[in-house]
Amino acid sequence: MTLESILVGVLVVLSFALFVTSLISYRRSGERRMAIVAIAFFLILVKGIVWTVGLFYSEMDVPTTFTLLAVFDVAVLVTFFVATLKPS
Amino acid sequence: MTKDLLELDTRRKIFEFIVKFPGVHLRELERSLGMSVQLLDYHLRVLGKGGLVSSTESDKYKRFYAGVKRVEDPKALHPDEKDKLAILRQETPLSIVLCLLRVGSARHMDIAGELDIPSSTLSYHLKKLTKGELIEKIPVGEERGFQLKDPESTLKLLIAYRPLSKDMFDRFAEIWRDLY
Repeated sequence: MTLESILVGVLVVLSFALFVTSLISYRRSGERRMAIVAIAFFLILVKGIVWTVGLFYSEMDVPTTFTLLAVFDVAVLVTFFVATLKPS
Repeated sequence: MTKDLLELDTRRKIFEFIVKFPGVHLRELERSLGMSVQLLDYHLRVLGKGGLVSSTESDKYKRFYAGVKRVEDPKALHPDEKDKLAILRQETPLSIVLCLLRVGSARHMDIAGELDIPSSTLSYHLKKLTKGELIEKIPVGEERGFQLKDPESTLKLLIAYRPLSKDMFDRFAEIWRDLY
């Protein structure tokens, strides 16, 4: 098992835990900001899954995988930016 | 009449929680009792009509208390105490009060440093606490400081009505709230 696959595993597990935490926080507080935060962690989770697929199924070429991962990074940052600036 | 109102298990549970934690708001009731807002709203209306529960609006939250008038119900809080408790149910004002209880009196900059709160946020809460008559302005050297207006009664209020504990989900939501 390579270091990369361990890191991707940690990424998926942690993002899943944070996604669930933010979802519960949203249910309790009812704040739309928490829903946006949950979306951001969900995107990180999807990114981790895409990365895993890229690692184990070599059908996707490296440039495509990196472009896709960069798209997720930008989407996550934009989502966090909106969540931070959103008034409650 | 009172007995009839509290015959229903759910309603009695809500009432007992409000007696234990006066000043609690709807969302806190929802998560602490695991009941839906609609269900709580219905029972709170019934309890309100029956005079068992009263409410006040404070900082965008509707807060609930047991009893309507002190003379009718010894458990009911005095209106002044309700206002004070509504402020003490908020985390930052509570930490300011606890800080002043500990140090006696302090300047604006000392409180800001002690609690690691931005100056503008602290000013907002100090104003709220002063208006609520929980603290008062005093001269500290050549500058202005703050102290508790009536430390003894504030302490009694804090001992009698402990704050609701917060779990990781509340703290998680607070982190994002504080970023704004």
